[in-house]
Amino acid sequence: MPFPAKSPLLFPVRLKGSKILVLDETALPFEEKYIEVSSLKQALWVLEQMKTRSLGQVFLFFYSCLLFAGSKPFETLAEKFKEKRPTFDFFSLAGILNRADSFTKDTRKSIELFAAEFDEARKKRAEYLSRKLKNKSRILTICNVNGELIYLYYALRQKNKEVFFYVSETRPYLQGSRLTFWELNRENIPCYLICDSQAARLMKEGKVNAVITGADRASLRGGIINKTGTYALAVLARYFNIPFFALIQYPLDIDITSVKIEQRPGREVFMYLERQISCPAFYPAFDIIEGRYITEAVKLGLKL
Amino acid sequence: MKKVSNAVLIWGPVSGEGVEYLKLQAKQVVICENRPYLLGLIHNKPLLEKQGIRVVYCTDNTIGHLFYQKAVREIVLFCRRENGIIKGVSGSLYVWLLAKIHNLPIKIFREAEICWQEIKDKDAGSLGGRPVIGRGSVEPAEYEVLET
Repeated sequence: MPFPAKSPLLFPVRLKGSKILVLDETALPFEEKYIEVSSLKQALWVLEQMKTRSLGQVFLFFYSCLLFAGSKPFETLAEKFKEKRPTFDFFSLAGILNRADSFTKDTRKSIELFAAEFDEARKKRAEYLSRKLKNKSRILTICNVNGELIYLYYALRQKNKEVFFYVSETRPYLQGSRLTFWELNRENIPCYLICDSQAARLMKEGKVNAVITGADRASLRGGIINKTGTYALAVLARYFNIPFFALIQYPLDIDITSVKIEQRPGREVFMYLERQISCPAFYPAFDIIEGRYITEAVKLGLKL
Repeated sequence: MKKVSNAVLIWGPVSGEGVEYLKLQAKQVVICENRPYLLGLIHNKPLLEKQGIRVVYCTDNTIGHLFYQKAVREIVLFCRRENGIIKGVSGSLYVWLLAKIHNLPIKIFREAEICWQEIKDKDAGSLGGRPVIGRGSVEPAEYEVLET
């Protein structure tokens, strides 16, 4: 199946010789620039500053293992990464790489294998979801799922199903506006941008018939952790009887409510406003969404 | 990072009578941004700070998180009544429904008059008067109906 998507967010972190190229997601949509990372210190800075997130931090970790880990196991590096982004599970990533290395005997090859398999699995998941979603789907999403909605769009269109997306802006980092809305627009995919608080009105007016989000963590017992604002969407979707799909990878047998939620500095709430604002602020980076709110957690079929 | 607990969360443009209530009843007031207009930042924050009320600022999408964590004990909505219908600025329905679903009490006060010509952000396409995207934002409803 052809997926002509060209979004740089599909693989926001790449290897270039002995350096890691990181798409600076905080500069989008105004500028598409890459940060060259050539040391572990730089990699950790990029991570802490949220220059990359989601899939980007997966590959930032993998390439850091390749270039800066020194010797295996990779758990020591996972510890350092976790200090910067405590909610994300870098230890599982270390485990994936350890397992892959055990049969490829080559970390670079393991990462290449993972990347290829991951992309193929995303396309298969889009294909699966496109069979579940009805014609004239009106999908509400939040934050950014690294190009996967573009794959979903093409899969739906191949079935002659019409679709358009409502993208929640996702304050304060505006990942919805700057990343998702931007990448959908680049592909001329029909989409509208909304403020996070407009979701209830759209649902009440019957303008949304599915909610699809990513997941930073997932539990085998049900439940996910995802960007702040996801919980409200899940609760409202249930209230209006709208299906809520979570795109998950690597679910673990964990109690999702016990995962430590990262608290970001309050000043970041004001970061995309032009002026400095002095005010105590509260910014939890993630929401916990219990399994009862999720219609289906759609797994990524990965062997690694 | 500021801790939020046992707080009163406000939505909509705060009026004088609301300020008096908050002074008496709230030890900590959570001010939401109130996108797209940023009424929380432009109108509510300076008004409450001037009155010496302890405030914590948050983005609108944090509301669900705060309710889930049981960090808020009451909602104060600033809106208007017309022929028995309660109407609030964009986003009021989001707060109203989330509060109802979480069994949180809602207190209603008359909203303050806002000079809308001075508001720079009309939809999600801009923030703080600066464009984030080109075209393609859903226009906010003039008012969202909360109860009939």
